[in-house]
Amino acid sequence: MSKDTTNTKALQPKQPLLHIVRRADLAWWKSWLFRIGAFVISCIVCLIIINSVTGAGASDVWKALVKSFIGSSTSVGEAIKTIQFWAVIRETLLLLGIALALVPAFKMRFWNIGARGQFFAGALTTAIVMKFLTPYMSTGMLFVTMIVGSVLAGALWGVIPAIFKAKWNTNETLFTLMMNYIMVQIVAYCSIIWAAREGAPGMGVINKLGSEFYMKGWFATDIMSGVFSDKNDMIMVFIVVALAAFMWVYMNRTKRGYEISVVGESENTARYAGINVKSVIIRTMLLSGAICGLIGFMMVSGYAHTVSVDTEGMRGFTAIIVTWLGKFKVGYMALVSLLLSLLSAGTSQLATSIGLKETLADVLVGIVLFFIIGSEFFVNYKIKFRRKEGTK
Amino acid sequence: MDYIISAITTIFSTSFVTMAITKGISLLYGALGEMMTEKAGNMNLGIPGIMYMGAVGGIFGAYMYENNWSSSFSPFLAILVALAFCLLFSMLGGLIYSFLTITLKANQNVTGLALTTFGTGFANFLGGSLAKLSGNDGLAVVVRKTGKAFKTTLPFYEPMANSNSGFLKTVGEVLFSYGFLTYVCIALAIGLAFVFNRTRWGLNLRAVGENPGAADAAGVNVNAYKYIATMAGSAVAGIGGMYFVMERISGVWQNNALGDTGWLAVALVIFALWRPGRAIWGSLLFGGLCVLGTCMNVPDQTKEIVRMLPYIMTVLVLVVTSLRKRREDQPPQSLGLSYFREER
Amino acid sequence: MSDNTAIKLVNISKSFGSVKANYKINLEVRKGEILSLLGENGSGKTTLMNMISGIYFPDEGSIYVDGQEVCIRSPRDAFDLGIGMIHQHFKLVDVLTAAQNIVLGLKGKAVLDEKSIENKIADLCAKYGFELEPHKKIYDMSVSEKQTVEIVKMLYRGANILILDEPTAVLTPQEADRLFEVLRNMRNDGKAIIIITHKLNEVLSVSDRVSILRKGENVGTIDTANATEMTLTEMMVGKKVELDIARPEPKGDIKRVEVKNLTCLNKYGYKALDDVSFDVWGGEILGIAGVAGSGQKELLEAIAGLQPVQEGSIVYFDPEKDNQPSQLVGKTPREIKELGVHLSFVPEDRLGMGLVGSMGMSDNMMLRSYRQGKSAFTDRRSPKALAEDIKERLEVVTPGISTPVRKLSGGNVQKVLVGREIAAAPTVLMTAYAVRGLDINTSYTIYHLLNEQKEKGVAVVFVGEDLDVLLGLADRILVLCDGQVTGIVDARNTTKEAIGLMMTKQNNEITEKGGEAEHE
Repeated sequence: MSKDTTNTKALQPKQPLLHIVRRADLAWWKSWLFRIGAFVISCIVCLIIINSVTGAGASDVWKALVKSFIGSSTSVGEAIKTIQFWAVIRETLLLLGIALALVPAFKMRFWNIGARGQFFAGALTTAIVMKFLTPYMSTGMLFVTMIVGSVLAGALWGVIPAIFKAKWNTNETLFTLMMNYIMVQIVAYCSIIWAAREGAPGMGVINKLGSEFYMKGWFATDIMSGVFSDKNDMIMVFIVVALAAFMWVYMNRTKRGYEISVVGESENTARYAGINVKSVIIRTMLLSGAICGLIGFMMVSGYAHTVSVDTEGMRGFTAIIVTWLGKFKVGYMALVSLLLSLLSAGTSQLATSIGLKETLADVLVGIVLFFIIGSEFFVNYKIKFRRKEGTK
Repeated sequence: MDYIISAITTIFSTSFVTMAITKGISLLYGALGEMMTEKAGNMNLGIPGIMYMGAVGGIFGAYMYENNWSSSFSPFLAILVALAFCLLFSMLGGLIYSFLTITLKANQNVTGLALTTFGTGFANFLGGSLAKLSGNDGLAVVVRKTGKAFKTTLPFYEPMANSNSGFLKTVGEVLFSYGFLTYVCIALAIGLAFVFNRTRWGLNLRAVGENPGAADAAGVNVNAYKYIATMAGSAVAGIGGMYFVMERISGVWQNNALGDTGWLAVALVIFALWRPGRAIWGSLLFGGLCVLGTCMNVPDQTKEIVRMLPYIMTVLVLVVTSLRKRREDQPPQSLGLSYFREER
Repeated sequence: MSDNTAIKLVNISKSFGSVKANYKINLEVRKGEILSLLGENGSGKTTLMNMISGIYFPDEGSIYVDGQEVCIRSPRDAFDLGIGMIHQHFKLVDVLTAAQNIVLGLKGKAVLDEKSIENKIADLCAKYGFELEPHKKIYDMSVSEKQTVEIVKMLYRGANILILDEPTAVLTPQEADRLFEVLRNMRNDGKAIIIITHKLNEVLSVSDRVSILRKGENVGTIDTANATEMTLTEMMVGKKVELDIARPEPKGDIKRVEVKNLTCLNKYGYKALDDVSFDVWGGEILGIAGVAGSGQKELLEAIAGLQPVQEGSIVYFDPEKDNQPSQLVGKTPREIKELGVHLSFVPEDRLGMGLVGSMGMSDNMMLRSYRQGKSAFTDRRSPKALAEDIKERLEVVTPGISTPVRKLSGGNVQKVLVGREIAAAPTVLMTAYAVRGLDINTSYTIYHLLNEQKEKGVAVVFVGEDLDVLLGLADRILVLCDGQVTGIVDARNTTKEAIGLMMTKQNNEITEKGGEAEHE
């Protein structure tokens, strides 16, 4: 019975309304038209949501966005201005830094979603070094120890899943995901034992030494003030820009980067070319983890001066999105990071007026991401509308 | 040594068991939901976000019902309204994920993570707004009445709890002191095990997750299966989120109420090797480990270490199964990949 | 249109990007006949059949089943019309059992009634003489068992139009004969059967009519009774095959590679190579013939260091070091290279192994040589120059040397690959199906390149599928069957039939005769 009905359905010479085919090629400007179009639509959706929630119109939102970036030019003055500006820049740098770390892994088609854990490994190590070795070391020495320690810790956390992937083909997505939460618990543990022993109020603050510690943790301000006019954030810019340059060269100009691209494309080709796939996997994840660790160091020593389970702020996951949407290209990734940070800061600014802070930002960022993620479909595929040709 | 003795005595206390079960069941809901979508080859890392959406949906429905929509409180209606909003919200999350990954063939990990960001933000935003409305300094939303309705026990629990026999009391406490959703969850797990293994749907669904090309060639509508599994899975996971706030914390919403429940649920799927039956006892184990520290009255840091154990065990399971290479224990083969029939 | 027509295709066209896979094809299959769809690799046979079975959707044209125009949007639609296709790469779910795969996607009671399913399978098996264990998991099955599952799956669905894509490529001769027996039974039942093949003997022995595709177009349909191998070949390749391949006399007399008692396991743990011994000499082309999957791939990969060796030895005699022997077994490709062995290898899977599809010509040039030099950085200038050079010399049609090679046509891809391998100045050059899917002109370019290498004293190993080419190009031909060497013959003094026999191992005496034809 049911067979008959489907039979007649298939017998109808009607063609499907839509038909999807893969695009052979698309001019670059067209693909950007799709992406920008998606972004614009998502912004309109966001505006509607903001308007219905806060009553703010488009011009208010624009003002808030501008304000979030360059600060208010009227009331509070220069100080706020710079703080706002640097807050956005800092966020961009952190996102971009982690996203850069993910590039080699993703390019190898190794789904390292463990940036969160690797970041924390570096952050925690930095905090431990700060806390316990400060009295015994010069600032320079301390600085070197923190970097080395955090890089090693991040690399270690990244390489464990890689070893299992290389040797026994253990699913790396699931493994790195679990490693995140193991590390989060370690951080939770450490932040409790060390905060409690010092009798610090609240959980997770290791910043016993206060401002003095702050200076010793980072470049001492008295040395650097002349150069960077007291902006620690400027050093972050240098680190991340150097990292970006390094990553570009590494991926595009070195033998190792070439090997990564080959392995990601086809393991068979890699074996044919005499590449030791296992060692490439392990080596690449050492690098990926190490850079995540370095960003963790940057966050703790340059800005947070403490570590707690909230330090990472889900940037490890957001960075995955950045890397993917940025198509592993440094410039695009920087653009996406900036966009997300700006969006986040802008909506936070808006939401503060109604007392809802980051949560609305997450909603709006999510919506924008959905649209941009979805727009890739139209770049890669073409929808053909079909009409029955008049054969009779 | 002291810890071990203390742990053992704790494990045999009824309060520990009941706490472990309620925690475990919320994980089980999430894990079953994730399992359904993963069986269809969709690695949904948006499940934590979807659980948040379901939880806040339940709270929203209950709050509206308790405060705005009715003068007299009917527990049955309260449950219905809460459940309706829970399903609405969580399936909205599932729809977003499905549309992006199945129809638009977007990367599953990226979409899932974006959905988790969105879902968590959405829940905290809505929850925060409600908290403001309710005047609790914007800190919490309380829907105690609905929470209580959800915790309505089976009729024979009362007599057992009031009986003089210590044995009956304990049995009643351990097995029957929970709301109906607890039993629904166990039944769901058993039902899913049956569906996966013995029915045509289950067979087709597994084929879609393992080898969509083969399923397609055999006449299975791959996209329909993916959509339905993902949407249904989201609904189930959403109920898990609501269960957590209604049953476990008795109808109170706070910012980030669920913590890492969603990620634990994802871990549980791996731990259970994609089998609903194993997930039942796995959920008890995970639930137990999560609450062990709290019940043992040990220092906070020890609790954190105990809470690490579920993840470590999951990693061990992952490693051991990849070493043993038993085909039946592996993740669905096309997990994480989108399907396009005309791919060459 | 006669009542007897089971399925009819009218003006079917399909393109993939710029490649016209099918162009205005007309085809008709009658009930109760076996139609062979003959064509070279890449002639569009599989694409056409995929449109009937709902995998692809045609760009243009119409399909009629039982005289009515139909629209096949999915495999489900195809089943409902009684069309079943057995794909070359089986569409089976590994972790499920045979019975589960057979009922996959069917409508029926929600709860599977395993007993009645198994009974029905048993009935079908008994009717056609299959052997099938319904509870066996697919991953435990041999290739022919999997094929049986696929056929039973289609019969279980009551398919009236059955399409088989190169069904014998992976079968032993006995298995193939059994399959043909089954097909004849089904034809007598009134089913319409299409087999895709490029083997002439199969066409002649099993089919009633034969349609020939060439470069995506149907060049004609004839009754098998009126066909001979010659006429079919003519239609298939477009003109009378006068394989006018130049064959200079081999001049080298230096042993370059000696393979002794080589045994390898394939990925399923079966012997892919069984006690294989032979020599390759400098300045000759050694052809390797055999049914697909007889161990050709494993043999080349073992020499290249890509395939683990169970037993035996592969010795290379280095011309630069006074023909000093060195053992290759147990070494990685990299170690072999570092040993100073100039080994070039054109693998069968061009884009999946020999080249990186997403990279341009220039970056692909580096694939085998990027490690040269101590610098951590890649040398980008010489690959670029090499790419330009190859583009120029071999007339590679590409928008530019940085265009991803995936976007090039098959022939141009092969030119890039062969060009690179030859540019490495090899002493041993191994090629697997070097001309598969290429047009005649490109094929001749490749033959010419190989001969050039031979004249330079390179030891060339040429794995081929077209016996005419092997006979015209090679100096000696080694025949593999089931992983064993069934003969090594002088290509100048042998016949197609003799090699065909060795490929199917039907005459053991030939093995010994072949032994005499060893290089003196």
